[in-house]
This record gives sequence, C-alpha cells and structure tokens, in this order.
Amino acid sequence: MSRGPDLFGSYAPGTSVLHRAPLWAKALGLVAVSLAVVLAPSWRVPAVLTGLLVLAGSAAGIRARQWWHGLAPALPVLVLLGVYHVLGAGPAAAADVLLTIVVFLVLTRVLMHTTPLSALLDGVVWLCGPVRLVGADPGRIGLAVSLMLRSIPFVVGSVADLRDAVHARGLRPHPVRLVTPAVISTVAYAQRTGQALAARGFD
Amino acid sequence: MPHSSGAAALVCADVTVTAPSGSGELTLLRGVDVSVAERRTAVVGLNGSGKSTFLRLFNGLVRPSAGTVTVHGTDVARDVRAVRRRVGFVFTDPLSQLVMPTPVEDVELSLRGAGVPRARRRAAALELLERVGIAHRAEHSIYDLSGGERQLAAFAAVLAVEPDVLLLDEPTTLLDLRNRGRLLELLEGLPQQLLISTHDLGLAATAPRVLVLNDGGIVADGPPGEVVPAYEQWCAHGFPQEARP
Repeated sequence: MSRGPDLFGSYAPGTSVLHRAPLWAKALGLVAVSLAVVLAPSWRVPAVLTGLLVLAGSAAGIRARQWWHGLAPALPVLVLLGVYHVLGAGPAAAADVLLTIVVFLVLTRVLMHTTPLSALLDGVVWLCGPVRLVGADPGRIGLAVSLMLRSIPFVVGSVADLRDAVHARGLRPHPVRLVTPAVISTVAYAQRTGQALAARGFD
Repeated sequence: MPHSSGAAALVCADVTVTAPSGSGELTLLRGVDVSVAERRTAVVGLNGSGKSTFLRLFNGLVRPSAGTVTVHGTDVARDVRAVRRRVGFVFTDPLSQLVMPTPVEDVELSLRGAGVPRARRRAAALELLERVGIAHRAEHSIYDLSGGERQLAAFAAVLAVEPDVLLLDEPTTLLDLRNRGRLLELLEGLPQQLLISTHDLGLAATAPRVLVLNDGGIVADGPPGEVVPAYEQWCAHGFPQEARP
C-alpha cells in the first residue's frame, strides 16, 4: 500500500533541546501558543510564532523537505480559504485565518518530531485521568488518539492506490468512482484493526 | 490419527461456525472435533477451507455457533480475556496488526498492556526487536518497513506479552525467502505452543503434526510425512468425498 502524505510527521530520535524537554513543558508551550494565537489582535502574532516554531523545529532536525511534505497537502484548502476571506473580510483577516492554521500545523509537526508517540499517549492518558470519575477509561482515549494518528496515512494512501488502479484501467479518477471503494477499504481496515486490538487484549 | 487431550491442549469439541451471507447462512466450520497438545501443529487447506476461522476460535475472535472451545482448560466463551492474555495471534497482514507509528512504540504498547513500568518499556521493547532482528528499524515508520520487517515487528509485539500459545495465520505469505528463513529460525527457538495455518508446505513439514482442513472439516490429521503428500494429491485430484456434507 502507498504511504499517504506525512501530514503530522513522526518522531525522529535526537538530542535537541526540544527532544530533551519534558512533556509537561511541551504541554505548557502548546497552551501558551494556543492562547497567544486565539487572543492575538492581528495576524502578526501567528506570523511571528510560525517563524519561531520553524526555527525551533529546524534546530531539532526537521528538514525543508519535511516542512514541505507537511504543508503541501494543506495548500489547496489554504488557497480556497485565503480567496474566500480576502474577498469577504480583507487581506488582514485572511492572513490571520491562514496563519492561525499554519501555526498549528507547524506546532503539530514540531511536537510529533520531538516526542515519541508513546510519551504523548502517556500524557493524554494522564490528562484524561478525571474521566475515570464518570466510568470512562483514559487508556482507551489515549489509544483512540494514537489510532487516529496512525490511520490517517493509511486512509490517504488507500485513496492514492485506488486512484492509481483507476488510472491503470484507463479511466479518469473521478471522485465519485473513488468514494465507495475508499469507504469500503477504510471500513475493512477498521475491522481488521479492531480484531487485531481484540486479539492483543485491548477490547 | 493422533488425538491428544489434557490441560495443555487446544480443544474444539464438535464445533460448528456459521456466518450470515446474502443467501442465508454460510457454514465456515462443521463439527470440528480435535485436541491439539503438540508444541507445534500446522494447519493446511485451500483458500476458504476454514483455516483462519479455526485459528481464530482459540483467541475468541470467532465464536462457535455450536460446540465448545477450550484453551489449556479455559472455556474461551466464558473467559475470553483470560484466554487472550495467554494466546497471542499473528495476522497475515501485519499492517492491520501494528497500531502504533513505529515498531518500538507498538511493542511498548504491548508492554504497557502487560503492566510493564514506563521506565523499563523502551529498553524491553528494543531488546525484543533485537531478538527478532529488526532493532535497526525500531524507530522507522511502519509504512517504511518491508512486508517482512512489519511481520517481524508484529511478531515482537505479540511476544512482548509472553503468551503460552501463539496462533500464526499464514505467517510466511508476505515474506521473501530471506525473511521466511529468519521467521522459521525464530519459530524454532520459541518455547510457546504454536498453531500455524499456512500454504507453505515447507513450513508445515517442520511441525510434528499437520491438520488438513477442507470445506470446514478436518479431512486428515497426522505426521507431515503422511499428511503433506496426501494433501498434495488431493489438491491435484480432488479431496475425499466423505469430508463433504
């Protein structure tokens, strides 16, 4: 199966400051960036934060090609949103919206690149601890998050495979032709993953 | 025909498995009555003969419509959680089995489920990956691994919980010759009881006991020297009629 685009990146071992930073410090950073972006009066705040995060991520070993792979799949949506907001609210508002999205894409990549998913999982489980009070299992929530991250490349890759299969048969890859088999393959994948989890005792 | 029994056995007592199909009901296994206590047993049969269904019974992934299944004395229907703690399952397609982005994280997930403290998980996971020969790929994305490396990673994740029984569903199907050799070598050194479904007659011949499934029933059961040649004959000229309903 093709590997889908690497939207969020994945952990790469390293010794940078970000690699060595404890999870709680990264969580605080995440909250700080989120608050700064949400409360920012103009596009300049997300622009500066994006620049700083790109610098920090590059220092942690994220190469130009990896930045491009993370942002390229979002470009069509960003262009559409940009045009819509420029026409509706002006260039400053459009820049604010687009840079807000970009700063979170960059932040996600930096976090994923410098933190093992198992450590993130431990953090999510700890954070979700209070759900025990209502009878929920935080371990399941953590597992669901990791499964979501793990499954996105599969789903995108399976659509790419279907597109190739349609091309190979001399047909045009019209979205309607791809939707049904893509849904079927995704559901089948979900069933297989569910069975595998059950077999491993995560039921 | 060997017919083992005892507490260390995987037992199917008159098991039938049916599944709904478009035109009514499909019988996947019919009246299977067998006890497996050998350290290693192979299950062979054509596609759709019921091999995977048979294996899945012993992990509770498939429930019998009739009959009972026990694993080392525990009724699977009564205590599936206890059974799954003791029975590991390696699927044909490891990509479905690996649920974390990298092999080391997937093995860590198994160790986490087994209650291994966080501080010890990474070292233990790397040790297991070293044991199956893919420690150098521990931190790579599972999408960047070859089929063989994925299979070995899935294998390490299952071994992490130290099961008593390993069920392997066509483990060599996606492997090249080198990885097949590596897997066979690994299986040879395992202390667990192994039940292996396979089309690989070379692998089947390494087990002291081979079961042949056809049309949901066991049509032969014995040592590979007798059973494998008979199976090859049946594949070419047709299976015994008495095995069919």
